[in-house]
Amino acid sequence: MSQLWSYVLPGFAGGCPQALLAVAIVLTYTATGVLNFAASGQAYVAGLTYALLIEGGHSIWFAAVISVLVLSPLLGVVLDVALFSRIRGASQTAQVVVSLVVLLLLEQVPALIRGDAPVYAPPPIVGNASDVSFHAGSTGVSSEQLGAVVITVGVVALVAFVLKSTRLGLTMRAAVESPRLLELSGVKAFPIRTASWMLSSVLSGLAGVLIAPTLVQVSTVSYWMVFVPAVCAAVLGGFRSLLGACTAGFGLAVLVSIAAGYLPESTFFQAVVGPGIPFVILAVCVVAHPGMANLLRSSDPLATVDPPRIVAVVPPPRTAASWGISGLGLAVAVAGSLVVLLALEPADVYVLSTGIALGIVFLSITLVTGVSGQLSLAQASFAGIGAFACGQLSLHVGWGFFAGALAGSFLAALVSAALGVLARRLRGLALVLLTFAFALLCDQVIFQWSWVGGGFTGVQMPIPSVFGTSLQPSSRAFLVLTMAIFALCGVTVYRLRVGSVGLFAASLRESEVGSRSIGVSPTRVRFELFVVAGAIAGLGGSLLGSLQGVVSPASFTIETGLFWVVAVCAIGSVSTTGALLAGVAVAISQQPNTATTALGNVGLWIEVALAFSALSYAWRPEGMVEVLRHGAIKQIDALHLLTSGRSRS
Amino acid sequence: MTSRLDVRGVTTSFGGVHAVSNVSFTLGAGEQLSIIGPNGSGKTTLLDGIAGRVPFDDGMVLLDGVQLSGTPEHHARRGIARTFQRTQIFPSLTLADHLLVALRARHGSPRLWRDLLRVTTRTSGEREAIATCLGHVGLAGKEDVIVGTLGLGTCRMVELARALVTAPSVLLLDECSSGLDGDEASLLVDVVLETSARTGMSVVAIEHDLSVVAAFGGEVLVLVNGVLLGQGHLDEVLANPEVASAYLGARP
Ligand SMILES: Nc1ncnc2c1ncn2[C@@H]1O[C@H](COP(=O)(O)OP(=O)(O)O)[C@@H](O)[C@H]1O
Ligand SMILES: [Mg+2]
Repeated sequence: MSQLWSYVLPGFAGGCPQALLAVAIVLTYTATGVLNFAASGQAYVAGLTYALLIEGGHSIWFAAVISVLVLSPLLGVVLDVALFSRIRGASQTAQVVVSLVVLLLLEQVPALIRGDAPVYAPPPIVGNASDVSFHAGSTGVSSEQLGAVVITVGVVALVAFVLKSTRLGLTMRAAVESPRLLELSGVKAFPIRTASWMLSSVLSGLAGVLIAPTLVQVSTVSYWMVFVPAVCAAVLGGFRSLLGACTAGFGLAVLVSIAAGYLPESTFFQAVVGPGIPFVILAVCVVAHPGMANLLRSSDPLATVDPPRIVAVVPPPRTAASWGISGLGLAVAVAGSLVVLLALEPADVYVLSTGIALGIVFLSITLVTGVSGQLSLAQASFAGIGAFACGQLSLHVGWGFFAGALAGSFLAALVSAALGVLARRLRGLALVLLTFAFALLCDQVIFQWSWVGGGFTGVQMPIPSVFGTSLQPSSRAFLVLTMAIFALCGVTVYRLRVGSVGLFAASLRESEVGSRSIGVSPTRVRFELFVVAGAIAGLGGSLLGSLQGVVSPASFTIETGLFWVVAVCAIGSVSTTGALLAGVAVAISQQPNTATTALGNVGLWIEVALAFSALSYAWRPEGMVEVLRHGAIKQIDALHLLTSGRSRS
Repeated sequence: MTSRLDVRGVTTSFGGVHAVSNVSFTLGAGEQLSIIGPNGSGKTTLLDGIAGRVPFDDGMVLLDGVQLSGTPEHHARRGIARTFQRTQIFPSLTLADHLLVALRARHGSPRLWRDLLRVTTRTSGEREAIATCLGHVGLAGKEDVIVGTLGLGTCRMVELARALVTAPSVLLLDECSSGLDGDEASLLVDVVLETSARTGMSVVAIEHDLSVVAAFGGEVLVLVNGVLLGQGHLDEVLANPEVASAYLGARP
């Protein structure tokens, strides 16, 4: 019995931040419809500020007040006013992309400002870790833990009271039920929405400040690890109930703590099964929770009053100008490739090859996001699966690169098929969550197994050899190979996009109800695209791995995956050109040569710039490339009209 | 002889609301049926149930004597086509693409490998079917127009064309004349009746406009609060005092 207590009590205390974060996530979702991935970033920023202020000699209370009660609500207001209130009409996918961008910015901007010097754990707001307040059985509860629990329970009770019993709370709940009805009754939705962003930001910030003292270093990854169970708890609360989410947050923490305690001592269980529990729980929650399949469906009885606000990508008609632009693009591509092949330095050839290999992986994002209209956060994981399979097959079975890459691609397709079967009823946010759980499972658990990810040293990748000559990563021959494989995958994506599957997918993107009424099966179309995307990502991953020489779990982390999605959304998720250019941009940003200049870390700047431009996804989901292309076509057509008009008169 | 569509005692409730209670009717090949009733009386829910979009809690629907079950796509492939009260068009697709999706989905054949092996283009058969169908609804030659740029009246026509191109055996229309002016509405009715006469397609139409109901001819079903209040020809139905008071209010 006392052993059970020794797992329950720390679990409960450790559950405080995730319970708070869960409440914050549900609050934002119910009041604004945004699944806020940035909550983890908001917590990080608050925790970091708290730690830095204390490091700078300020008192604990001052640091806590500034980070939780000043900075956090301010951040909430800025996020709402500058960003989320402006994209209310955008699709939920677009809103997730924007929240991912915010997350990346919140994580990158502090690094840009202050470099990456480590920040050590600050002291807790109240109590301290070694000071035992009371004993339950033989387990001592420290005053830090007690303090965290008291603060958390107090704050959640206060929020619950505000929502239940005050006028503000009443209007907030009404805004959740039907923003339209509320506006018709003369209440402006604006201050309500902003208030809920502020409140959720304060909760996230408090979570962040509670997490910081329990860490060794204040790092973004640690915040991820709290965010995951928080999302789990929000799912368990059906994304509706604040108290449900809070309870689930505590419950999950206790469960995981007990499970970890009672798992057999063997390293297999401790190292392999234990860490995976949160992600598996998240995946199970998303798949099994009855509300998840309908997460997209609005319950607003007046939702049908408004016409749906769609951001339609109306393609310009095929005119001479558009053919001209396509021809010009092709000519530039051919000429460019020739120049590149003849004139580039090996280091640049290498960056370009990497960019094109990344472009292949990004083609899988084109399929899932651009064609199917869904958002998957797991494409980097499929690339990883391909790469690790290729590497391990070469290492243990002696397979060459091409056989290994094919096998890796096949395996990635199989795994995405399995995930696709699990996700067959899911779309929109629920699919985002499931792929998120899977990506984290790969990142934190599966790739960490040494027989997959090769452990600390990674896996040595085979080098492709053609007609007995092996192609060195920085050679032109390797570049040609990458180009050829990109062309192959690009043609595949193009054919799917313009063929029947693409047509069905387009109809599903625009009106799922309408498409089903004429016999289009959404499950089937999305599944097919998802599996082909998995295969392409796997292939691209092998190529990328072979270029890097060694792949390790650090090559395919969750952050990498999120950044890739953001980069593709910024540059263009609907075309092969977009994928290619995004690949090259990311490759340049990661190139070691550009790492440090007078401006600081150039790669980081490029990343931040890409993230910023991805914000436009909410308004123009077709991305930069298409916007430029359409603009050019319009200009040329206008010019053409002008000149032909003149010659006639 | 089995009737084309046989609806037996269907019931749907949402929480405590009985949207449709124990409604039955039959419809022969080539016949028309209009459903009238005040807002919120369960007309759309009844249509959604027949089209497979919302499952009935009870009762059954038979198409040519075979019981229907499953999802809307299953029903569509069995020959049930429909339009929507709020149009469900694909704004960024062209008119031709609207009909093409419908044509290809009707048979639901495997497509992935065909797409992968070569660029899928429209076959001459598909082109012909699209051109013919557009001709029937008065949109001949507008294949490449992007539907998002069209007005509501034309959008309803596009939706109708998308349904008709699959050569359905039952067509379900949900307030297809609402938002249309008199000319547009009568064109729509003409197209539907002409197709029905030509192909033996049966029609179930929810209508508010009694002149459109009269134009459709056929039987009229009155639905109030989910309950079938009357059935028969328009004049008979309107003569029923119960219907008059529930639906039309007191009439001199
Ligand atoms: N998805 C739904 N969830 C809950 N109630 C619904 C839903 N759809 C319809 N209803 C309710 O069912 C009743 C009938 O609606 P509907 O079939 O749309 O009526 P009509 O088409 O005759 O105007 C209404 O009371 C409506 O509020
Ligand atoms: Mg209706």
